[in-house]
Amino acid sequence: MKKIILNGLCLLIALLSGISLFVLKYHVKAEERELKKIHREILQNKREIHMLEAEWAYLNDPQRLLALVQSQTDWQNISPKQLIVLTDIPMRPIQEETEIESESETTPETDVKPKTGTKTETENKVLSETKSVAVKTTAKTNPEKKEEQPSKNKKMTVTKPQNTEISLNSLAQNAKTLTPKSNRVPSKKTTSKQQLSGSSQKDFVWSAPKKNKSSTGRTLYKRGGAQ
Amino acid sequence: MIFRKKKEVFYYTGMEVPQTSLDKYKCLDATTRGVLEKARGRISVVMFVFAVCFIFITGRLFHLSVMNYQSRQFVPSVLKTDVDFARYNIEDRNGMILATSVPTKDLSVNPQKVKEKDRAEAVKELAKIFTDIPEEEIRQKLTANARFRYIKRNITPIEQQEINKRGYYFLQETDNEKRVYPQGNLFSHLLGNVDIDNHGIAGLEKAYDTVLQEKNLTLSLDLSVQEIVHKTLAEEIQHFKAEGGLSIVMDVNTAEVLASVSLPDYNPNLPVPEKDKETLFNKTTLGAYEFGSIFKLFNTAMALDSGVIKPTDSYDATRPFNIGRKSIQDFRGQNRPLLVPEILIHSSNLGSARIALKAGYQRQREFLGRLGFYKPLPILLPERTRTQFPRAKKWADITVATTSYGYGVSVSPLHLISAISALVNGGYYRIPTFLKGGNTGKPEYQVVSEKTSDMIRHMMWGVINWKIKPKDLGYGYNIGGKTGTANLIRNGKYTEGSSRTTFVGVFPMNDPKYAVMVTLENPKKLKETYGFNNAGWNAKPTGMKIIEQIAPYLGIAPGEQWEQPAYMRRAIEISREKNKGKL
Repeated sequence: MKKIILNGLCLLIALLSGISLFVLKYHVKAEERELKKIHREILQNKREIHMLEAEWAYLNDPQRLLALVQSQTDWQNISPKQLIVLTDIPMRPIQEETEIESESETTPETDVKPKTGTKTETENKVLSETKSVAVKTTAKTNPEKKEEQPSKNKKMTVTKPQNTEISLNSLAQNAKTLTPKSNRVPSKKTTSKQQLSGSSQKDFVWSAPKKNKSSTGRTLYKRGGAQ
Repeated sequence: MIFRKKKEVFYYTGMEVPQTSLDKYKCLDATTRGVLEKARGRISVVMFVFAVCFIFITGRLFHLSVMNYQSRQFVPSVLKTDVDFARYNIEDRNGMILATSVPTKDLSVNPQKVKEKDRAEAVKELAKIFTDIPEEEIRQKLTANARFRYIKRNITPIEQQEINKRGYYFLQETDNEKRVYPQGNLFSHLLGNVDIDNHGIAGLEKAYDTVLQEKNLTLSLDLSVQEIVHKTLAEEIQHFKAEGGLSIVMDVNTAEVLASVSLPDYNPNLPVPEKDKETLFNKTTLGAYEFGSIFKLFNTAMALDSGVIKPTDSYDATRPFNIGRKSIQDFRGQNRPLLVPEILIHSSNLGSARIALKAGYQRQREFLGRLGFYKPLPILLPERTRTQFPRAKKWADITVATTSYGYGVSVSPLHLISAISALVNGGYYRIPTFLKGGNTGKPEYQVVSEKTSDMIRHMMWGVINWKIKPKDLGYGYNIGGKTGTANLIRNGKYTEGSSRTTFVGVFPMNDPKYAVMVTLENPKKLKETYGFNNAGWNAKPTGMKIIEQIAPYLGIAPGEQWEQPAYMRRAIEISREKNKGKL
């Protein structure tokens, strides 16, 4: 009896495993077909991506972008004068002093550039602590003076900032003497640039590509049809 | 175990049944027993062999599937998902595509299959589709006595669609690829080109032919920098009515080339017509030129490095002097003794010649050799030039003098800018590279000491900035450089009036990052340049324009102030004092 049960059991297992193997095989076949299809799609997509990348590179051609930008905006190149380092930005005037506040209506920033063209810079830290303003004044170098005493320690080419502490009142007085912002065009710096470029130049403007270039025109590819 | 039947031993009649199973053979007669034992022996041998085989197979399976699982990819071999291009992309340092391949079709015909009645109509129809091929040519291809003729290679999708619509039985389409350069003219010389079978025939396409068949190539070039340089140079060439020009931007610390433009250029997507063949010439690497006064930098560096001169020395440049029959003179000279920095500032031939003669020909020859001026550049680019230099073992005094201010040694622009980079970066020479990260390792060798490099940097700074009032300094980018003007050789003779003007600029000078080189070929004298055609009037402003545009892009801030050493301050003071009227 025992023997019969055991044998039956074995037969059942064999049968089951046979059927499951059969089912599995067809399942795998179906899956592989699916995989094949997906792989083909991936391949097709990759081909299309490749074509689109080429198209994208073509559309990103700087000359084309420049023409587009020029048709929409009035952009110019950044001249070095228009770039400053973060530390060059002057601090806001302190609000607690009423004297300054009244002045700051006319000149919102203490971009204090007196007529002499010296650079001033206030520092908040010093302000809050000592209630006085540390003004960095770029030393105005006088070349003729220099020749009288060409000492080794003196740096001729370097405009070394001198820290001078002055009271708020004097700063306010100084601010009063300021010319309106529109008048404060640093005319002296343009001369330095002229010297740099060697010829009298306006600001460099991206000119439209109407000046004929040596390019013979370009056709990447005739478009319109699917590949 | 379950299926095993109990063994039944055969007993002969009249024999005693053995008591134990161990004695079962004893009941057999001798012959039967012998045969059985023999068979048993054989069976066990066979079983042993099989067992060994199975153990081996099992072991091997275990080894493959368990131990070697990582190394072997058990991916179903259905399809590859990677597009296999015959040629991969060329990208700039930011991954922008500079050259790519697009899949196309080649259209061919089997003329043997074309039936007589279809021929006339087919020729007409094909001529309608391919307007660029004459009808007669198509007819010849269709009637040829052959089994295969290309009608057109790399047909466009629209043409393909038209062909498919007609459905001619004798036409075949085969896969091909076409190399496409999306930026057109921008990189024409450098990238080179490929032939119809996608093999590189020029430029980087040829240099990295095998690499490009396997993977993408990332260059050190920068699309935006190249565009700025190309645009500015083209404008300035037109402005100064020059015959051509070139410009290179190089990272001085890695010798990676960021931009390399040679004008006139061509569109690599189109065939270059025969009359424009000279546009194929890449001046930056294939041209060998005399660069004039820029060599004064090398001359000064050589003398400073070998200790022959000190930066505080002064040399007489009062009046021209003769060596043999040739007279050496300055262009608009200062006519006074000049300090070493002043020799560079005023570009004095006399001063440079005196320094060179003092240092001697051996030092000069050896130094130029160290800068790699006697060999073609060891780069993979096929367009490399051989340099020209005096071959004599002992250089005559006149050779030494003229070489000191840039006549007699012709090198390629890439040679020059690599040497300048080496002078300013602390003295480390690196071979220029067009690949991103191509030179990350150690420098090749040191050409000058760091101290000399420092002095040269200060002097280059002085050359550009000495005219600027000290209080106005520090507003622009911290640029240093040198200009050079050399007369062109026409019919074997130097011709006065025609010139090749060069400017080499380095920025920021206190911590050099990039070098820019601009050369204009035969720029004309203009009213606004006061009738001059020297480098200071055309090449230098062009270089400055380029620097002002690329510096913000490369992340260089303007207004860096830089302390000058005493000898430089003194030289500038004296120069400003003596030239008060001209400032």
